[in-house]
Amino acid sequence: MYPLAIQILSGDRAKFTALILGLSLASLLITQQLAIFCGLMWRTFAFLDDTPSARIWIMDADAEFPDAGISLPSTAVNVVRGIEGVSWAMPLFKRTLPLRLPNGKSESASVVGIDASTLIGGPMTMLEGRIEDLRRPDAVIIDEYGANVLLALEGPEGALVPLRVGDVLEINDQRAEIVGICRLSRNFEDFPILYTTYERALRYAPPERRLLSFVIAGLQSGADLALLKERIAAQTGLKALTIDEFKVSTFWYIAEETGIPINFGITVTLGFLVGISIAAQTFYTFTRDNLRQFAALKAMGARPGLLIGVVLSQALTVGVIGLGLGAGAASFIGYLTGEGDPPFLLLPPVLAATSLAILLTIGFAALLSIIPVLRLDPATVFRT
Amino acid sequence: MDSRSNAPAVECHRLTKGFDSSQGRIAVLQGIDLRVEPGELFMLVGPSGCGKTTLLSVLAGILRPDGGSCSVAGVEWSSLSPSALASRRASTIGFVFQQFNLLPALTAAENVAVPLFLQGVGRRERLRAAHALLEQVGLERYADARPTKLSGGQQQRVAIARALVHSPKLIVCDEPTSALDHETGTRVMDLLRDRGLRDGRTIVLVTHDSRIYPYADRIAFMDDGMIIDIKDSRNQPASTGASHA
Repeated sequence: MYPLAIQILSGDRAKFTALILGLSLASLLITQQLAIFCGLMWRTFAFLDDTPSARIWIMDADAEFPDAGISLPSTAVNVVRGIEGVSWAMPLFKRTLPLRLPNGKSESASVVGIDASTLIGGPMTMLEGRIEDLRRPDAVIIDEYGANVLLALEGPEGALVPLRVGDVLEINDQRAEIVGICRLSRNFEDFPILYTTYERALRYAPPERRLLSFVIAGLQSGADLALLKERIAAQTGLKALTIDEFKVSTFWYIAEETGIPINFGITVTLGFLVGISIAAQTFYTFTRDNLRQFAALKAMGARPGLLIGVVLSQALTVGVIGLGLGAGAASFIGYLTGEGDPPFLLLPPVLAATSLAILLTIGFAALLSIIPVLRLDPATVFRT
Repeated sequence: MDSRSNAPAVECHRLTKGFDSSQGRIAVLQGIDLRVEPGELFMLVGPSGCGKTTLLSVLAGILRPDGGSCSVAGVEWSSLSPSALASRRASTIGFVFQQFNLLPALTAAENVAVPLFLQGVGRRERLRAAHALLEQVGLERYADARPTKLSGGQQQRVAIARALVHSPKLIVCDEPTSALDHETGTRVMDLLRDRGLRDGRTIVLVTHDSRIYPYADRIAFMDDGMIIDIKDSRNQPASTGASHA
């Protein structure tokens, strides 16, 4: 049955091509938009990915994402350190502060202050300099993308000149010298990231009663994580989340508070509708055009199951080819853009969602086409 | 001995069939009685709308009659379920249509093999049989050609090969020559008569084309849903222009 179905399908090259193109376009659109959505949302918790040593994040009960900006009392660090099951606890400062570049231009940067003695919470990959250099006076470490792109200076002929180790900046009118360049994940806000020590970060920040952003903590081996979180909440009145829970919280906060999911949802829905309308219409027309052939087969003794099988085989074939071409093209575009913009993250659920959308499309198209085939009166074959 | 072996090829009693229309139910067949013997070429002729194509459809098991009975090779169609009827049709009947109805995406050989495909015969075996039939109808060298590359006469010859490939007991033909010029039509009828009636096979053929009447053993004249006359030419002198006679 399958070879017959495919021969009939590929026999009409124009419609076969239109079907493949329609489904490929839908698949490309859905895959690409979902992958960009994933890439964008992934960036919302890039900071958490870059701070893997922190198993537990302790924050204000109302804080939902890393840049919530709700500070804690500085005593929280010591309180957490005293809780049973906590192996270590360190302060973490994270806030967006004004910055002045060597050429006098004003910018903003996300300043991260980490514990000077242990340097826990610092960048994992240094490209230039050493993380220990943060202990030097006025030292900051900048991320590669910030140095090369976001804060790059304008050269004499318009070319961008990256910031380098030794360049001096001003954070909130106070001196900051670049002592290292690190590699970080691209973040959602597209801010440059500057690491410094916690004490120096407090000096850079405008004076406030509370400046501690988070307490990050480690877990003693054998300690029960759920119990520990309950203990922290009970003893500090703060919220304790694992790194994965904090990512989920961040994802939902951004999803609910921004129009991003709606915008992407509209594009994905449009892609789906375009695909379904092109594919269903073309497939239906294709089947209608072949009704006489189906009538002849039916007259010659073909059972309904065979004809349904032929239609389903045809639908499945164009669906699989369209899905493959569309998802393949989307992957290729994603490969070309690399880690740049737009962010592209092709996760298995994206492919699953696209496959489901294409399956629904061809299912609908097949259903639409099977009805006239089943209702077909084989006696029509005797009419001219 | 199987009682079906002595059965007439086609037998109908008081066959009625009607269709609904805006003016109510229209009777298209009004009590047809018919018996066609094995090895006979039987023609149904008459004016448009007289019911000959409907009768052909009922004989072929495509339409179910409203009343009366119809059996082919001893099997009463009404006793079969739709699925069994389809199977029986696939194995017992060969079809030759006015517009050929070859599948354009398939080659001539693949088209000929379709009835065997419907019976679940393996690809290699059915293509071997199809090539043999194409050789019999003189189209062996066109086995790999698509129908669009063939002339009307060649397409109808492929259709005849398709109707013969599964050795059916009955071949039903609907206006097999009306889409062809006279000379090609004559060749097609020669072929149909020569190959189609072998092994006691029966042909029931509907036509408007009076030039092919001499090929018939008997001709039933229909009008207004009834057979009004049957002319038997089996014992008559040969007609001119018909190679079989």
